[in-house]
Amino acid sequence: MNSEVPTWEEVARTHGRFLYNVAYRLTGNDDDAFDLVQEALLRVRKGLETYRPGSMEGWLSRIVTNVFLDEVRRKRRRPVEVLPEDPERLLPSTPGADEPTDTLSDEVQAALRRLPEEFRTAVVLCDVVGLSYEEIADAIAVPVGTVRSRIHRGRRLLREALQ
Amino acid sequence: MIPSGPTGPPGEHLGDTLSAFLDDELAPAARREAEAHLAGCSGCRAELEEVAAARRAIRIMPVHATRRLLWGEEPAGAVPAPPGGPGGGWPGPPSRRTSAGRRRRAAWALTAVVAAAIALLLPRDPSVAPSLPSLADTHAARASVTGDPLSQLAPIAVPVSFGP
Repeated sequence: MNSEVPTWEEVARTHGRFLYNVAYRLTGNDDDAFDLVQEALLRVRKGLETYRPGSMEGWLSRIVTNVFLDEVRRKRRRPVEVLPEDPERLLPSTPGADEPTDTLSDEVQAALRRLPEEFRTAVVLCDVVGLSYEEIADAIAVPVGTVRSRIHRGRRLLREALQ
Repeated sequence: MIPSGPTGPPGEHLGDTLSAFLDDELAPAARREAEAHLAGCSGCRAELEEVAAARRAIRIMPVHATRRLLWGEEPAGAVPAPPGGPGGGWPGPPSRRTSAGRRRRAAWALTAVVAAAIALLLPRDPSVAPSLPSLADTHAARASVTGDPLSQLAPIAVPVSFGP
């Protein structure tokens, strides 16, 4: 393995919290975020050989986002499972032990969770991870114009939800 | 960077170009066009403020922390495992429970099962239990004949009831 490429253990230890934060913003709850990070780390382990030194966080963001979108597609194919549209999942009556205690963050997170997954993904990659539109387009395999549209519509919906 | 200018023909509202404007994703010429439009369009200025507020709300959210241990992390105060040695590397499938906690619970469960098995195997029916009073009587009688000095105390035990 290239000496500049970190080991899987190093990635998990150094970037685990970053991955968890992105996963939490995408899924909106602690359990799903953990599952997402687990699956993402498995993919990291398999794909580490192909990693080229560069933006590790950008690369990890792509992986965790793809895991999230795969899971969304899987749930759409199997609608028997609880979908994110379920109001009880969207609007938890009481935050869990691991939920943020900051009220504003709670409100923003709840509004973020209500966004359609495509908009949420684009907004999270832009405003939480800090990727450029081109990087987001590359990560989720859509044109840059689509990214721009999704980010803007996502922000508008979020603003409406927060008012 | 998006080379095209505001979407649609001149004079139309900026729409999603506003987010690209905020994110500095417009080429210089497109940015100047957007600024010129904004200067004369209160509707676009209002929308710009709206999306800017949403953008700010997300960006100021703190990193969401969890009290759970993540993979590759050691509990506070734990001695780190040697690289590649036992406990190093993949610490098992992620779970809300730690592996040490699982081992403790398994040990308790095993202890409980063994204790239950012993309890079931112990004789409960007095009819099959050895009759201690009769054993004591027999021993006391034998001791009185053989003169076993240790068994001189045996008759004292005789009155004690061992029966159910």
